[in-house]
Amino acid sequence: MEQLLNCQALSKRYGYKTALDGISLTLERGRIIGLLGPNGSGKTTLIKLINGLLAPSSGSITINGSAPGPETKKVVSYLPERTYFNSWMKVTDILNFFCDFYEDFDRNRASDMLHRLGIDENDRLGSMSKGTKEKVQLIMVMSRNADLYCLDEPIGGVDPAARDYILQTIITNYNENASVLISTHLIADIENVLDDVIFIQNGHIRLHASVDEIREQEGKSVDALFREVFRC
Amino acid sequence: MLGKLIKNEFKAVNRLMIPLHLGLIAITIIGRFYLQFTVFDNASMSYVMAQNIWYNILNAMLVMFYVVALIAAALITWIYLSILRFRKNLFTDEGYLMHTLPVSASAHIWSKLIVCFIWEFIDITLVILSVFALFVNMDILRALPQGLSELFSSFPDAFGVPAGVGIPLYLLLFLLDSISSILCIYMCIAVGHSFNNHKILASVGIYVGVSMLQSFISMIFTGITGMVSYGTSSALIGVSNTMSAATNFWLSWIVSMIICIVTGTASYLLANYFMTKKLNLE
Repeated sequence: MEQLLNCQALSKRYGYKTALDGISLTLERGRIIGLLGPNGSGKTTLIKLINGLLAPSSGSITINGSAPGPETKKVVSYLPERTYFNSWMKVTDILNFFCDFYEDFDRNRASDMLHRLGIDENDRLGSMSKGTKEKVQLIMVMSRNADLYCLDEPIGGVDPAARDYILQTIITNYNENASVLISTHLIADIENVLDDVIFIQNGHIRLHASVDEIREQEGKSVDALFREVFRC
Repeated sequence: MLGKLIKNEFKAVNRLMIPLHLGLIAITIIGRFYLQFTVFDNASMSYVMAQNIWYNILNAMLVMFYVVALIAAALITWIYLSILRFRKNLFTDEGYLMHTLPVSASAHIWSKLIVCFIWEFIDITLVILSVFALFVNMDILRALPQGLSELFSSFPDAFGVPAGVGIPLYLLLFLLDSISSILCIYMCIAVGHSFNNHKILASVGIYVGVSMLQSFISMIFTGITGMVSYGTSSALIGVSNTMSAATNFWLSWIVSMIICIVTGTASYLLANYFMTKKLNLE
């Protein structure tokens, strides 16, 4: 089977500022990958490039062999680091919206998860707390049967109990053909679910290895290694 | 997918457009009743009016309020649909959702254009009907057939072609002109938002540039032909000192059509290109 994601000499510059500097990267299927780096290291830029929200300055990026476009958007499920729903929408409106546009959206799964987290489908987004909105958004994204899930800071704003439930859902919801790319700096919280990690700094990839390799070769946890590599 | 985009677009804009236009209808009905029981066919009321200056001031203010409300409804519709909605839905936080849908940029443009056009059409129709409904009375209705027939019979003198030819052709021109001006605004927003900074400023700057270019072209045309145009810079309508009315009609109509078609097509292609290849969401 072909590679899920392939970046070749991928660069993104904003004016004089270089956010990503010629990175080459391949992601396999069936992995949960942590995209880890300090603030402003290029994590969000990479995820936005994968989702076609930015155009690369140079280099190429392919998902299932094609450049970002309507075809790749069918198989990539994206959770941005901001809320993108209108406050007048009810949860049911959002469910209908996702059903309309994504063939792989599983409405029953979404309803189950909403029920588990005690979110009423008739509630308006405007009446919800920030954390609840984030939960709704994450539930929508994880209720798709996508090939690649891109989660940008998925657990930053939710309480630890919901965080555990959400991580559990992430692990149980993806299949062997799918991968999950999670960007975060809350490493300790997600370390146990990760298969691979990518350390990114100043637009360069510092390290791309499996968690097992790190534990064997370095003899320390990902969290400890991160603190060592990115010591200020 | 286009159908689903249109459906969701209507759902979003109807939240503002329906109350706004219900308000317009309500103001018209209230205004009509007010006029019916005061100004029209009420002899004693006209006596009061002649005597009481405060009453006249009140009436003048009500008419002014009505005119302002009418202009406001039309302006809000135009600004909201062709500028604000397109920008907010596609180039701010909401764009993170819209641009990750498995939908092409052209489908986004078409869905916005179609919904914008339909609501603009409803808006203009309602504004015209409102003015008509407010002031029409039996005298006007009786005079209408004769007035219209005079209007039609004088059309050839003014424009050099029969009304049956000229009016449909002008309607076609207005239709294309409004579509191409919506597309032109979309293009300015799409190109402006591919910049890294000052996205709104860039969009406005591009719009000013395009408008100046259009005015320049139509100025050259009117200068050469000696035409005095009462239309816009893209829809030239008027009289010429140097040409026969018929030559002027055909020449200005064809030039206007070319300006509209070129502007509209170029705008569409550019907007599509920048939304596909140069998307740069903040």
